[in-house]
Amino acid sequence: MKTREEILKAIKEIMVEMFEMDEQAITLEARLYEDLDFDSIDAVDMIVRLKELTGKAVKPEDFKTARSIGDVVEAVYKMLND
Amino acid sequence: MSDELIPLLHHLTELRPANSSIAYHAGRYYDAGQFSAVVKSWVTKLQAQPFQRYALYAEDTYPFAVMLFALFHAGKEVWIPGNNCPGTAQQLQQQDCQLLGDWDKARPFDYGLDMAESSTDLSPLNPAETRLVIFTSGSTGQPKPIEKRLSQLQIEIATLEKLWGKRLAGAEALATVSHQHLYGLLFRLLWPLSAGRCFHSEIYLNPEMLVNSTQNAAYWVASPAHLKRLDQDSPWERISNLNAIFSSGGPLQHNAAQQVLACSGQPVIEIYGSSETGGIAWRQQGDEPVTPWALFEGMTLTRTDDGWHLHSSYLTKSGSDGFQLADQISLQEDGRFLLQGRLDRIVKIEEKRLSLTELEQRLMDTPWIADAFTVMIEKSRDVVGAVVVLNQDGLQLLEAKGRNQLIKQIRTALSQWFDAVVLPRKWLFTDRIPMTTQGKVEKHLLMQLLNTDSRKLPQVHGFESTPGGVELDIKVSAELVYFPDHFAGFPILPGVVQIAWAEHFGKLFFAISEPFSQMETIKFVKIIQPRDELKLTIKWNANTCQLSFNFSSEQRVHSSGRMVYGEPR
Repeated sequence: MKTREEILKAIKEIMVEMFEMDEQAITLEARLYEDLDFDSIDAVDMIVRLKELTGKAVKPEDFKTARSIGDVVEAVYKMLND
Repeated sequence: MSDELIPLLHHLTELRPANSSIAYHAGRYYDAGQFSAVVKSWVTKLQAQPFQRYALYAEDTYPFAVMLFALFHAGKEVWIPGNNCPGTAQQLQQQDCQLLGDWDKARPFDYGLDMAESSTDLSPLNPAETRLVIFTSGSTGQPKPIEKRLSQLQIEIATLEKLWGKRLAGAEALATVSHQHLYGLLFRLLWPLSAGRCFHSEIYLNPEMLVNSTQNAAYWVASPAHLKRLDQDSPWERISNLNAIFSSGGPLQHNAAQQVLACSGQPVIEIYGSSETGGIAWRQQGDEPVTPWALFEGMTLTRTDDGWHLHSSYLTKSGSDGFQLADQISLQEDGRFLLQGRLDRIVKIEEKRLSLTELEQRLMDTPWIADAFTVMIEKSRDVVGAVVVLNQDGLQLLEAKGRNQLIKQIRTALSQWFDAVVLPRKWLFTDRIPMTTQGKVEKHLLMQLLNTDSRKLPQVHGFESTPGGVELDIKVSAELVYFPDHFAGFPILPGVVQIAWAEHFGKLFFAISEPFSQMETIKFVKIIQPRDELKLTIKWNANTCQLSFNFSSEQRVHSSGRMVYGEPR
């Protein structure tokens, strides 16, 4: 998993499975809290799953400032290519 | 750290080394001298204000502590709400509270933590008058104010210190829970402050952040929500170095408790209590599947006709009957007890306390809803399900904007009052809440419809009764296990699955006890594909034992058929 496309695909799979969301709703522009009804517990769950997926710990600071799916993809991309 | 507790009443007037660290906030330590100086500055400011009652909400614990003690010393009354939702703010203002702290994201509050105007001298607090009010959701649906005198909290702190003070020694308090609730207030702020331990201001998002926040000895003020999410990859080595792990807010699942014990070598210390009573009992789970709770010193439980009553040395005004507990309790001969669920309709969603009665009331207060019933669904993540009967305006909105928009609008209305974590995630729209013949809501049926297995069954969006049957609005999820092989690249819902779904829902709604005997007139007219939204109509004829079904969309039939139960005739 290297490219942004691959990361987005993986994030979509997590969200469909964990939050039972419709895959079509999960776009780069979708806002986590406003559009996808994310809450503080979801953020914690998401960090755990991303760690399982990438083998690296996402920086919670990056996640705290993430507002959209695009921001999450960017944070994971940065982490994998650091 | 000194060997003795400093009573909180004397905290700012007692002689103590001014350079001892009391808090870690925003990347630096604050010492007792700085704390005292900024509190004094605020006392002067607050005394100049004509208000008596304040509602204090702060994201970080150090600024919270500053304002709390400034309000105490200024002789003001402090209300502490569990959240800073606009609706909560409104309720507090109706109670004549002046809002103080982080209430408006757009206008950050300036705590002036570097202020040091120390012309005023503080005198010790008056034990009879210094009190705070915890504002939490009550079982009747109305948030209720719970008054605590600082002297009561001091007794509880003494109990905690006696049990675990040696073990904690000089450890810093780290937390993944908020100080806006009683457990966090005591364990991460008032107890460390009184015992001369340093507390961390930030609420940590996850255990990695928590354990990496300090090189010093530390303990973790946790809750089941975080402990049950630990896994093989969690920072166990650092967790095992903690002096203690506390958990409260709800019972910790046995397997989660065992994992912590196995991976870190330390048992979680669980506290059972409530905002009304403070801590009541504690336990450390071991190998046995159910570990009973041991009462704290100074507590007794008595049983009366209407349930269990607590006599607690922390409670002053409980009267001769004691405080009636909302939990069902089974007392053992050794004085320890087991918890057997609540008697009222308060639930904990990931430790956030929620009154289902209040939620239903708020749903019905929106412009679109005539009737509502809510349940908690316990899964790997607890969620709330709502069964809702729309009124005329609601039906029009559904027609015009669709289901997702309607849900969004309802959630937005509710977010005025509730934390996002407790907002309903599963929704069923129906024409009436189904009742049993005894007049009770058919909870089992509703749970089954709200919580369908997303890999094997469709999502149920709503249902309506029809003469002799029921009509379900369903959505075919793309993630069903049937699609990948049937067929690769062209997913179609197999006919046999359609029949199985019809039978599944038929048996949920109707009492079908006879065995299946044969199938009649099965027709598959139009294929069903992922994301199709359909109506499933089911009719049950109890005389002929025939269950007929029909999958349709927009006037078009996809499939239909009839199953016959009982002896073939």
